[in-house]
Amino acid sequence: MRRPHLAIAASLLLVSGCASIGADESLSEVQTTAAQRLGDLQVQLNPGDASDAVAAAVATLLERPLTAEAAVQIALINNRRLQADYAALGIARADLVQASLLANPSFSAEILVGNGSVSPAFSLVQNIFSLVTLPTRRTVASSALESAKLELGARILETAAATRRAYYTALADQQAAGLLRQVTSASEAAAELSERQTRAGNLSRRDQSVQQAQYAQAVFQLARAEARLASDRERLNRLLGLFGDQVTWNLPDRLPEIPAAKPQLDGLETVAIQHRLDLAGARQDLQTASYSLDIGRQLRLLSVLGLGIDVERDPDSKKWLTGPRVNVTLPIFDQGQGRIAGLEAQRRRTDRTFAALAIEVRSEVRETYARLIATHDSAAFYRTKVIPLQQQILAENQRLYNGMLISVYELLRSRQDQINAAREYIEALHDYWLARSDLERALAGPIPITPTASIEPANPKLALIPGDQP
Amino acid sequence: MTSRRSFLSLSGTMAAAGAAIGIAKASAQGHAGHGPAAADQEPQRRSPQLTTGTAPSAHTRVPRPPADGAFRPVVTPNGSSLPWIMKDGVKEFRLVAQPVKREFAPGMVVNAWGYNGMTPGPTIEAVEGDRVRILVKNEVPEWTTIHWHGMRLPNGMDGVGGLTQLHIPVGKTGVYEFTLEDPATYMYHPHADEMVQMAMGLMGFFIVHPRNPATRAVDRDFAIMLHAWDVKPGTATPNVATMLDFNIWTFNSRAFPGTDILAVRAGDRVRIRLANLSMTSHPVHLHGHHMLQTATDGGTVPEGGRWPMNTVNVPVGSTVDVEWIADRPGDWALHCHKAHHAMNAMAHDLPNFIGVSQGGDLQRRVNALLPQYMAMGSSGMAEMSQMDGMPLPPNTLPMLSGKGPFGPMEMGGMFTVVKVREGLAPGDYRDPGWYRHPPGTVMRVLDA
Repeated sequence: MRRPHLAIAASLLLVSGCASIGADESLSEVQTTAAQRLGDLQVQLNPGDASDAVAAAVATLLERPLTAEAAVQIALINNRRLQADYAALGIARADLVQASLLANPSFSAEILVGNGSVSPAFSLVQNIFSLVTLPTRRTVASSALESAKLELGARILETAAATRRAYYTALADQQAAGLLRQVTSASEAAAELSERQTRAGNLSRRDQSVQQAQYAQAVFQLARAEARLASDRERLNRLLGLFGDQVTWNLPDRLPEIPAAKPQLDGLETVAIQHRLDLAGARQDLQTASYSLDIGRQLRLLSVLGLGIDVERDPDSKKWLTGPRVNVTLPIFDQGQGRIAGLEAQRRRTDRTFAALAIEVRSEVRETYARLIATHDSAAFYRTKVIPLQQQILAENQRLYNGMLISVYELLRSRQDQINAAREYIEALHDYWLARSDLERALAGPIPITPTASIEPANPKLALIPGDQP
Repeated sequence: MTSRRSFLSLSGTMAAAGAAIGIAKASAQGHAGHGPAAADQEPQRRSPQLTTGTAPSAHTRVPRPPADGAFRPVVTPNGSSLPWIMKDGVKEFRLVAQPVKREFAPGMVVNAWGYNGMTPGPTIEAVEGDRVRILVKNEVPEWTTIHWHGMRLPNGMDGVGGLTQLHIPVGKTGVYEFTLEDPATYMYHPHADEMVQMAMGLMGFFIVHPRNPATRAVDRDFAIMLHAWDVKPGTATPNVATMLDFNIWTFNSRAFPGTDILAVRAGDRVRIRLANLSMTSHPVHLHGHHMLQTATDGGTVPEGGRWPMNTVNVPVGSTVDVEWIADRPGDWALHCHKAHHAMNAMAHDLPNFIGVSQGGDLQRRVNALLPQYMAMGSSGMAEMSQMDGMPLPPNTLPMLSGKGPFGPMEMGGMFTVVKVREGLAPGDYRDPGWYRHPPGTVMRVLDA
């Protein structure tokens, strides 16, 4: 991965400085977790303030052709949905504060009037049950806060992954549209030549119509590709939170080539199990449910335990009587059976959800790994075999054309075939970068590459001749 | 190569027998040592990658007359005649049918089959009444036979595989022996898997000279075999299944500008023996002279049956002898008059751009996609002959070729030049260079 440009790093620092004014430590914890998992990418989270600094940083990042890393950086500081999710962290934190507070004491007063006398009575009761359960409630709430942090971290990684996917798709479609423009240009030239031939009386209207129809087909294909590209850009605009003048960003000319090395599967599942934040979140949910169940069990018979003092004036003696007051619910009808059953079920559910997610994560790693290898092989095959073959065919056709052995139409068609092979290569490369994004998402982090890794292609037909390794 | 060594040793033996072969070098068209266009080799069109071996020289080897003066030998341009040895009063010839690399012209070498290292095979020459024995060794990868095309001979010597003889298996030698009955221009070729073996180039002349050398005597006697090949551009091996779509047309398995010139002394009586083993007829046209057709493969045409002509049609599977007095010094074209047969590789289904402008913005737009593209055909195809720098497919001759003293000759295939000159020595077949025209005898272009 490329190191961010100095100016970009500076703008990000500026954002972080401003953002830290209202930042709470949970957010910076999440930021650290996410940064660890996004490789050496500089991560700055922005809860939504410092809009000028953010806009400046975004503008700097958009100045040059957008890279995948820059796109992710913009998404993390500028995606409004992510900012909304940061607020969820505030909710969980507020819940924790709330859970740390004592219940208020209750005061009651009564005045009995009758028989010529007035009897006031007062009681002050503190529900000490809440005092007893305060530590456990705090435990549950801070566990919930941990869950919220992990969930937010997972959201950040999801956003980064979605941004990468959208980025590579937009870039691939932009490149394909460029190639289709060339195809269209070739068709247009052929159509115009045929029109000139027909005007001179050298080509039948039928044959000329065939050329025109091919041109029309190319124009249609190009229009479709351009519409697709417009959608791609909008998807990226949404992820990057861009609007107005900001949407005129540029992409580089071409997708990055595939790297030489292929990762190895060994240990990847373990990496994923260790790093996946959604899995950690599920584990935390299980923890929270366990705490809740424990508390529920401890206090199943008791829901109110009030201790207080009663003051009452005796109507006969006119004296004030004072005495303690105990307020207890009697577990005769409700012994918390339903609540405990519910908490048990909740715990079971979180337990199974966690187990299911762990299995899914492992499978996801294997699947995306296999896809990465397959797409790597396909892209390498296209680059080292198919593309040179098409170039060879075109060069030979040019020679044939030089000798008046084929027509200019065949030559132009050969050029189109070559361009179409390049489009298929772009598609293969696109598949590769999507697979790579997906594997990174599955691992919740960068793909560890063993430099010596040499993996045989899964499909032996894609085996490259020794010596032309990409 | 064993066969080459045996050929050389045979030459030695034959010198002793008094019929030595003299080697006189004659140059291919446009490569004359003293022609104005001698330097034009068009090296960029050579394609070494398809040439796996060194192509045997396709220079004309002019045979020396036999010591006994029994006949005046023919000259096979770009070829030679077959030596023999005498054994018990029988002239014994040896032919080896084998795969050969034949250079059709500089820049094109064909994976052909031939005899004794060449196609057409060496010309067999003998005399009416001779007893001949021909040993045919088969080194091509399938069985073969030889049919002595046009001759009257015992049925069992006619060479039709299956009908009159066993096929000669691969690696074996077949022996033909018969007495030559009638003087004429004959051919030899396989009559076994004939389509394939002739498409690959197995063929040759068999000249039976009259017993009396004075009969029909001429000063210069040439033999030219007409043939057609389908060697797709960028390939080297003839397509043996082609019936109509041939693209290379040859005189003695050479295509212009690979064809050697015919050097003739002014005033010579000249004979050209033409034979056709292609699948279409060839109207061969001589410039500047009137010819008479003096013989067919059935023998001499009686004098009263000859009529003057400029163009003689050579039918499929026939030979034709024409004669004329070369009384006009100059460089005279000799070519098949089917225009496509005097061109090299070309396509026949190209879109027609005659009179269609392809230039301006359109050329620029196509160049954006194809930088090497150049619009062609708007005014004709002459520009083809000027496109020296443009690379062609490997092993492919340009459609229009040859450089003359006045510019591109725009020819190919069945085309050569008869160079009639004063004062050539008898037996001198070397290229005398381009004709020096007497002042005032060349067309001029008006300034206006």
